[in-house]
Amino acid sequence: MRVEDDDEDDTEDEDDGTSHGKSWALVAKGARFSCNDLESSDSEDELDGQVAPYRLMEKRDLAKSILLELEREHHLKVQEEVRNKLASLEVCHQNEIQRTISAFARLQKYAESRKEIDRRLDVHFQRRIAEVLDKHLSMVQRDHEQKSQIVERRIRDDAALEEAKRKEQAVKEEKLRQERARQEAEARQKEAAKLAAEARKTAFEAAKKEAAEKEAAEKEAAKLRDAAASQSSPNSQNNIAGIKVYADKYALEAESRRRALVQNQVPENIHLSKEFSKYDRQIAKSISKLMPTTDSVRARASELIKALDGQDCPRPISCYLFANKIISIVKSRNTKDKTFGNLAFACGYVMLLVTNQVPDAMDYLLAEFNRVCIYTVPKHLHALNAQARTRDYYKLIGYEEENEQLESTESYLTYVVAYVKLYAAMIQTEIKGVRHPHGLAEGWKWLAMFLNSLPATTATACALHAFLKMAGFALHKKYGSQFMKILDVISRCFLPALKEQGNKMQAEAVNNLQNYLNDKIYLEEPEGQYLVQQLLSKELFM
Amino acid sequence: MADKAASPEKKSWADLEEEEEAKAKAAAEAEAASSSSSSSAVPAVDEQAKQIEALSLAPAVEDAAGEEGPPLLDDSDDSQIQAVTSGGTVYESATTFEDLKLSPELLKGLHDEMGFSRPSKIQAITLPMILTPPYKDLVAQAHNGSGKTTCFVLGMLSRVDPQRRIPQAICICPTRELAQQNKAVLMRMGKFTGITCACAIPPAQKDYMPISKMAPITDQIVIGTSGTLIKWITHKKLATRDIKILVFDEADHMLAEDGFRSDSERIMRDIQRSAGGCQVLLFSATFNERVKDFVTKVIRDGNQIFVKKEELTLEKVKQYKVQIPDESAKIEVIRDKIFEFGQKVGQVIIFVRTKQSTKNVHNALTREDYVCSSIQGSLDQSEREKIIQEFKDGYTKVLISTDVLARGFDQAQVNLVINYDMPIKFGTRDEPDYEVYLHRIGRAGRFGRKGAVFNLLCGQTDNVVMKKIEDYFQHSVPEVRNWQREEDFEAALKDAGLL
Repeated sequence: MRVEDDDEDDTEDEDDGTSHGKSWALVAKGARFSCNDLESSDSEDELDGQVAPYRLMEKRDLAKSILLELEREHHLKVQEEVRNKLASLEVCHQNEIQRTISAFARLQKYAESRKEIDRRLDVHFQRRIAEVLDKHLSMVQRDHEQKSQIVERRIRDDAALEEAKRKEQAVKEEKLRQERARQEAEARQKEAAKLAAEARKTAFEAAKKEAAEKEAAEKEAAKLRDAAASQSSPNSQNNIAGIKVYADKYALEAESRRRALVQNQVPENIHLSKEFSKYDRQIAKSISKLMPTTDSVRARASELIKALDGQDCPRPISCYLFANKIISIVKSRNTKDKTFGNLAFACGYVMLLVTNQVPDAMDYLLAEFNRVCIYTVPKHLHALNAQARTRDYYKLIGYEEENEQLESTESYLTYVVAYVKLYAAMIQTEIKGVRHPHGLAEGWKWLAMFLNSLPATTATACALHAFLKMAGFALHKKYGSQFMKILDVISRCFLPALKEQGNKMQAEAVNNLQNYLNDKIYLEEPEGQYLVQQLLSKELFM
Repeated sequence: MADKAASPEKKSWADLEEEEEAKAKAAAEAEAASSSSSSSAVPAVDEQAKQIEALSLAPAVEDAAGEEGPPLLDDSDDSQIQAVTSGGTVYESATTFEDLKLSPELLKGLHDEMGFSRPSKIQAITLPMILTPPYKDLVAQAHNGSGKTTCFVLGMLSRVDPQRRIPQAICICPTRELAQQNKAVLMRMGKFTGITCACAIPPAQKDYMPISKMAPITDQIVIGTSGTLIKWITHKKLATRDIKILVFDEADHMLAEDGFRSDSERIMRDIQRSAGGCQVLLFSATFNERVKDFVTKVIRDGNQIFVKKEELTLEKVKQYKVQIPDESAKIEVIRDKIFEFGQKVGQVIIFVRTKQSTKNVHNALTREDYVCSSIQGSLDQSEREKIIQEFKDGYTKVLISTDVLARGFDQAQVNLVINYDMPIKFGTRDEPDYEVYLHRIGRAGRFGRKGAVFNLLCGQTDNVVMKKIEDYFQHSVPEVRNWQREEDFEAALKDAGLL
């Protein structure tokens, strides 16, 4: 079967050829062995049918018929052969198709597996990249944090240093002041009438007596407070046991120094003494005339400077009266009204102008602030148990008494807010060419001490909000991103701590602070920061 | 219904002071009781505090932390208001603004802008009545300075749909100043709601524009005087078909026969015809008997809150009378006695009758360097507005005025009112105008603060008038014995809390 081999070779050659092409080639080769009559396998049957009847019709001889027979036989044989060949080719073809299909499938599988591998590798690489990036970023962040910590530490160190310096200066100043006061007293004794001196003496004596009796508790409180602050208070007094003081050491020292100053220099019963009621009234009247206009502020300031500088009233007393009267403006106004902002700033201007001329007055002002509102220190007194929560405790933290009854917490908080607002207005007031003895830097310190040492309570939240509302704009302007960090501390630590305690009034305090941060109120100027220049009321009339 | 509503009212007002005074005590007890519960919350707080401290270099002050929360006396507020809730009206009185289901924007306005922390008595009682379906009409009488404006402003703001740009609420006031004041309050309170407000008052001369050229109103709320409102409605500039709520401020004046009754009735008719089921609110501090009768006829099916006239004078505002020999002595008393000793005097309103006295008082006080504003007839409208605004902004200390400002004028810093001349009914010689007197007193002592009123009496007529006023309110007014004695004034001012 050479033919078959040949054929197979052929078919193998044209692997991709179509089935039609194959059969054609096969027929063409097969033609070599067949007789001439057979032109193509396609026409084979037709020829067969046409030849046979024609030949049967004619009469032929034997030889011819044998030939015909043989021819026929041969024909059949060839036909058989061709048929066999065809079948084998068909099978072969089928096999080939199977082979290609399987090859295709293999190919496809292979491609797929390659793809899968690629994908896996890709993911792997991406993960690697992300890991590296993450590592890098966290390193950068750590670096930033370290940097900011260093900056913060530096700020704090600076503040401490400044505080120390100020303390030194204050000690010096105090010495000077005491000397001056002594000199003043001597000079007055020499030149002024005996009456005044005597009256003062009696006043002093009465004060001492009263101080001995009345203020025993107060002094003990102070002692305990100091003791608690330095954290060495095993020997606590029984009458205010169970009260814990939250405050910065420096703040407490400054406070007690100021209190001591006032107690030493100003007789206790000053409000009762007839002698000073004239000055009292004069200063009070002057302050009650104060309105938030430039004219009014200027006029009142010069009037007050004259009153404080005047010869007829001892300086410490007039300073004390001034401080007392200007801060008690909170008591006579509706501090919730929006006009209070104007007035607070007006007071700030007057305080700055006056203390610039009469530097002593600032200590009295601060002493008075600290007396009426402990949060201006800043300081917080915390009763540890129900027994400690006595009337004395409430009075200690600044509750006012009226008709033998303590005021409500609501009104207490209103006053806390008002005092802190006034304080905040004072520290941020700026006048060109006037040095502020207790300026914005002190406000920054206050804020830092406040957040460092005071717990989050309703009262502290109210105080903090009031302070930020008034001074936030100025602090933001001056300290920029550092101030933002403080706000961040508030939102991260102070607010959550406040929310922990969750009760009704706290919710409002939380909301206020939250809104302050969310609405970026520190970008808005506080109301009334600028005094009004002209009034129509003044111009129009008569 | 009237009695029912009024009786818990009375009780609450009477209780208010006692309770406030008893607050600290009750709270201390409450604190003691709740000490155990609060202690659990503290460790967490402590950690937070430590976190704060962790941020600083300062040594931690806190080692033995408080076992309890710090004292918070505000619990007593609840108990105080709960006493009112048990009064038994059909409406639950609201102890907080949150109870009223107001929109968050409105709450923010109340807390942030207005600085209100909780509703006042009248608000706690009336707001649920205003805001609860079926939105019944309401007649409410309440003391001066007790927060009526907030009631109806809040009522309007929360009943209006901010999405629809069509008038949905109207408020009618007797004077343009009051309309502007109410609008200012509304704008502040509704700052975050996006609700807008039109002020229907006669335009100033210089920016006069014929009504036909005016654009139709698209603001949700319209506040104005009756005349302008009628004009806008008749010219179809103000669509009334969607009005849900109609408010009369100083309603007794709006419905008095010698006041704006015909205008008010006309507006009410117009609106009720085009917008059926419109809620009508009447607010005032005073309702005399005749108006009260009329009101109860107009508002048949509605809630009513009235206060007896004997209980109308404010407890916290001390009234005094001073006998003074002549006009010039009046100024002396103001300058050398009242102003001299009143250290805690905030802002002052002096009510005078004539232009000449205005001038005299103004000059005398300006010479003493008090910053004064005066309202007198020769000012034009915009100047007058500006001057009032200056006083409202707290730039001037004294306002010298006629009765235009007696009603509704809200200035929180005023704690002293001086009746330089007594209020007398128009056209009579010695017939006092009780309502005006009460409104004048109401200028001092806003929102329960302390205040004083000095009545300067000169001559027999003034004495008669004063006597009649005392009888009417059944409230005897103490006398400052000698107008020349400083001690008398000192004592009086001290008693009023102004010294």
